[in-house]
Amino acid sequence: MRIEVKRDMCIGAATCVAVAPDVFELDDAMKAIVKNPLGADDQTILDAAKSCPTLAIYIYDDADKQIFPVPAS
Amino acid sequence: MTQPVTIPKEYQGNVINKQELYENVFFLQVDTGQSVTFKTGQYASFLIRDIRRPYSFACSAGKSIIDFIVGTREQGTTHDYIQQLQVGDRLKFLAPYGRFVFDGEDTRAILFIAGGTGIAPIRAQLQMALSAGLTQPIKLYFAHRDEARLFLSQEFSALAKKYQNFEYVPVLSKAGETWAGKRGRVTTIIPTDIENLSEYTAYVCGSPAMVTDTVAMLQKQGVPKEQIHFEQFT
Repeated sequence: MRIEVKRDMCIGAATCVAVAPDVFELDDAMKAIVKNPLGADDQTILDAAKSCPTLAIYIYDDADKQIFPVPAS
Repeated sequence: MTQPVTIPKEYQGNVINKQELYENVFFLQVDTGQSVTFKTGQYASFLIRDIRRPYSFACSAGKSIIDFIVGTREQGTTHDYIQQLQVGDRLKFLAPYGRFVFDGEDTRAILFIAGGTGIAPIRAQLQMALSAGLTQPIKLYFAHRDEARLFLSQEFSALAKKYQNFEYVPVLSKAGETWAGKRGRVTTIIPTDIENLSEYTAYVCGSPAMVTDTVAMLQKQGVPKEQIHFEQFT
C-alpha cells in the first residue's frame, strides 16, 4: 500500500492524524505528511483517508493502482 | 502540538430552504433529523459526487436544522451541484472539522471580523454569544465590496437593536455614493474605531489575504496571539 498526501489539497484539518497518529503528522506549514506508512493497519489508513474533508489522501495498492478515492469509472 | 480532533461522522439531511444571497452565494438550511455534533465555528465537508468541499456551519451548535452559507466561485462540479440543488434534495456531509471554535467562556470584549462568505462561522459564533447572554461588548465588522453584496445585513442590524452590547459595523471597500457607513478596509478602520484593541478577543474569517492582513494589524495593535482566532476561506 502506498499513501500520498496531495499537499495542495490539504487544509490541515488533522483528522488523518487523529485517526492514524502513527502514520500522519502535520508539518510546520500545518499540512499532513506521512511519517510512517507502516504505522497502522491498512483499514485504519483507509479510514484516515476517508475522513479527510478535502479528499487529499490517496491510497494505492501494491500494484500502484489507486484504491481511494475510488477512481471514476 | 496538535489539538484533539473529533473523528467526523457522516450525516444526511434534506434541503428545506435555499436562497441566493447574491451571485453564487447561497443560504442553505438542511434538516438532518438529528442533532449534529459540532462546536460553534466548525465546518462540515460536503460530499459532492466524487469530491468534497468544506463549508462552515453558519449556526450555533446543538441543532438538527443546520444553516450553511455556501459560495461557489469557479465553474465545475461544486458550482453546478450547488446551483442545481433544490429544496427537498438530499445532502450528505461529514462533520465536524476545524479549530476555529468559539466557546463563550472568555470574558473579554469580543471583536468579530468577517470578509465575504467568511461571515458563515462568525454568524454562528455571534448567535452563540448573544443567545448565551454574554454581557461584554461585542462588535462585528463585516467587510465586503459594495452594498449589493452585503448579505445578512438586516439580520445583524436587527440584532444590534435588540442587544445593547452588540454593535454591527459594515465596511465597504467600493461603496456607492449613497453609502453612509464605513468605507475602506477593516485593517485601517478598526484601529481608528477601537482604542483598546488589546483588551479584545478577536475572531477573524475571510480570504487568506484579508485574514493575514487583519491578524497582522491586530498583532501590531497589541492584541496578544492567544486572543486572536482565525480561519481562512480559500
